[in-house]
Amino acid sequence: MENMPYIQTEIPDNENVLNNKLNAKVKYVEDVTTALNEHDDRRVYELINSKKYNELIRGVEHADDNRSLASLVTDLQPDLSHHLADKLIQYLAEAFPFFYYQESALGVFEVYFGNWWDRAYFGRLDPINVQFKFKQEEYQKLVESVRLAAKGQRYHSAAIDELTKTNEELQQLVEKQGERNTQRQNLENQLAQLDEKGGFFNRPSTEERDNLKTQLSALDEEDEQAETVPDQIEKNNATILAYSKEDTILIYEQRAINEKFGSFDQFEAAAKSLYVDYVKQLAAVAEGGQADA
Amino acid sequence: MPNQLQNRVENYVGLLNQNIHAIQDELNQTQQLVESSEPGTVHLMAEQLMQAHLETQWVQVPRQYSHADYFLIAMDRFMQLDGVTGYSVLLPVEKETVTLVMTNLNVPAAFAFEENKDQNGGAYFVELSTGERLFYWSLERKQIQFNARGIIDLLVGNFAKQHVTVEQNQIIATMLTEFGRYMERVFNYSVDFNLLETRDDDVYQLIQHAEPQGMLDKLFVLSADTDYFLQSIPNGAGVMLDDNTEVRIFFVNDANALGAQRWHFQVIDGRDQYSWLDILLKYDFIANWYLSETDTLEVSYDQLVFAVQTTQPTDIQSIFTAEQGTTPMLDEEVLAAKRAAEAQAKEAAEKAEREAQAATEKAEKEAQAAEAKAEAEAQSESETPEAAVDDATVDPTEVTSETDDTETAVDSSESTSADATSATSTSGKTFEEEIGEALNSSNNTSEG
Repeated sequence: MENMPYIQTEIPDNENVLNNKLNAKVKYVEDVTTALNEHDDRRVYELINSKKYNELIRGVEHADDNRSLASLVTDLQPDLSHHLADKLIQYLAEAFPFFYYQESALGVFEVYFGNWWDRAYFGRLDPINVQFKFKQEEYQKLVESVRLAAKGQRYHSAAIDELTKTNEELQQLVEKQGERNTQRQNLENQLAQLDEKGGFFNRPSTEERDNLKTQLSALDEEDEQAETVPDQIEKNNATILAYSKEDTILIYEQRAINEKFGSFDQFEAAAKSLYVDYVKQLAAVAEGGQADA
Repeated sequence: MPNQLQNRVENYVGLLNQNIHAIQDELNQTQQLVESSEPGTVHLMAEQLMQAHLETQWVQVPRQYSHADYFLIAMDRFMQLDGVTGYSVLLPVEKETVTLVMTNLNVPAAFAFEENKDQNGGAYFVELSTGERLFYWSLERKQIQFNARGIIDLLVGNFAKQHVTVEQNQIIATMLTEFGRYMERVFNYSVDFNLLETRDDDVYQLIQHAEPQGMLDKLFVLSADTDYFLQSIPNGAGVMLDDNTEVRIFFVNDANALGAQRWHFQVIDGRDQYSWLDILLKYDFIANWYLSETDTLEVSYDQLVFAVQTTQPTDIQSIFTAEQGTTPMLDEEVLAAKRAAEAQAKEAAEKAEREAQAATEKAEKEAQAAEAKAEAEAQSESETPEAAVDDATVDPTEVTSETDDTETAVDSSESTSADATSATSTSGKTFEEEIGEALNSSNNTSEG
C-alpha cells in the first residue's frame, strides 16, 4: 500500500468542441447581422426560430429547434420586432387592409380595427412570431355578432329593445301622474268619510282604512319613482347610444371583413396562416429578386 | 294790400302744391327705382324712399307702397340686374303690395319684407306662413345678415319634411346667396353669410348652448345606415361624402368656450362649391343629427339682430287667390261705395219722380175740380212740376243701367243712405256753431 499513486483525474480536452460551439454562436450572430443588413427578413425568421421555419415553410417534420442559439438575440427582441414590423405592416396593409397599427413602445404594435369613428382597440401584432394576438373580449364580440347577423340581429339588439321598452314604461309612469292624482284625491276623500263615521263602525272601518292606506302608499311609491324618471331615461338613452355605437362598429368590422375575405371563416383562416403566407411570400420575393439579378 | 279772401285761397293752393310736390318727388323716385338700370341709382332711390313718409294732409294718396314693399322691389331689381331666376312677384290688382314666391315649389310659401320699426331701421325678409326671418337688410348701413336658424328651420326642418326636393330648396338657397354676393360685390356690403358660406377655408362659427354629450357618437350611429362613415380626426370627426366633399366637426381648445372647447364645422370640397346648408339639404342623416343637436350647438347668426326669431305667421291663402295683374284696379270696397252712392242718387231721383207725379195728379184733379175758376193761374202752377220731373229723370236713368243688377248693391245703398241721413242731421245741428267758429277764427286771423 505504499506509494500507491492516486489516479489523476483526466479532463479531456474540449477545446475543439468549445471552439465549434463558440464559432457556431459567432456565425449565428454574424448570420443575423448579415440578414438584418441585407434586409433579408425571410432569413431572419429562419434564424430566430428554425424549427418553426423548417416545419411550416420547408415542410420538415419534427425539425430540431435552435432555441439555444436564438436565445443569443432574446434581449434584442424589441429592436428585432421594430425592424421586422416595417415590411410586415406593408404586407398587412394589403392582406388585412382594415387594421391600423400604433407602436406604443419600441417593437410593441397595437392593432386598431378600422379607420372609423371610435374604432376598437383590437389587440397586438407580434412581428417576431408573425401573428395577431387579438384582444379576446373584442374578438368574441365580433364572433358573436357574426353569429347574430346570420339571424338578422345585432349584438346589442336585445339589450336595446329592453331599454327602449323600459323607457316607454317609465314614460307612462310620468304620463299617468294625473290619473294617480285623481286616484289619490278619491282615496283621501274616502278616508275622510271613514273618519267622520268612524265611531260607529270601528272594526270594519279599520280594515277599510288599512286598505285605503295601503293603496295610498302604493301611489306614494309610484310618485317617487316617477320623479326619478327623467334621470333614468337619460341614463338609459346614454346606454342605448353606447350600445348602438358598438353595434355600428361591429357592423363596420363585419362589412370590412366580408369585403376583403368573403366570410368570417376565411378571415379567421387567413389570420391563422399569417406566418406561412407572409414568410412564403418573402421567400417568393427573394427568389424573384435573385432571378431578376 | 291783398284782401283776406285772396290770402286764404293762396294759402290753400300753397298747401296743396306742397303736397303735390312731395307726391311728385316720391313718384319720381319710385319711377327711377323700377326703371333705372344703374345699380347705384336703384340703391339710392330705395334709400331715399325709405326716408319718405307720404303722410300728406291736403292731397292724399289712398294707395301707396309701404317701405317693406320698396325693399322687395329693390331686391327684385338687384336680382334682375344680377340675373337671378327661379322666383316671381305676385301683383294683386286691388292693392299696392308685393310678395315674392318661388316659381317651382310644391308647398305654399310667400316671402316679403317686414320693416324693422326700431331706431336700427332696415327690414327682415320673412316667409309669411311660418314667420321665419331669413335675413336682415339695412340699406343705410349696407349690411345683410342671414339667419342660420330661420333658414334651416324653414328649408331643412319644414320644407324638406314636406317633400320639397333638394333642388327646389337649393333654388331658394341660391337666390339668397346670389343676392348677398351681388350686394357685397357691387356695393361693398358687409354680408354675414354664415350657413351659406361656401369657401373651403371658412370654419363655421357655432353658438354653443350646452356641452356636447355623445354628439359625434350619435352622428356615427346615424351614418351606419348610409354609405358614408365617420372617421376620427384630431379633436373631432370627419366624414367623406359624395363629390369629394368632406365635412369636419372638431374643436379647438379655448379657455373662454363652454367646456373649454370651441367647436366648428368645416365643408371642404376643393372648389368652394358647397355650404353647410347644402350639406344639410343633401344628406338627411346629417340634417337629422344637426336638428337634434341644436339645443347643444348651432351655426351662429347675429343673436342681437335675430333676438326675435320669427314674425307672427299669417294666412297666405288670400295672397294666392287675389286677382293678379299689372294694371291697378279699385278694390271691392271702393267700388261698392261708388255703387251705393249711385243707387242713392237713383232712389232720390225715383222719389222725386213719384212726388212730381203725385203733384201732377193732384194738380190735374184740382184743375178738373176748379176748371171754371181761374184758368190762367191753374195752368201756370201745373207747368212748374212737370219741368221739375223732366230735369230729375235725366241722371237717374243713366245710373239705373249700371246698378240695378245685384242685391248687395241695394243693401249697401240702404245702409249708405241711412248714414247719409244721420250725417246730414248731425251737421245740421252744428251748422250754426261751425259758422260761428269759422267766423271767429277768421276774425282772429285778421286781428293777429
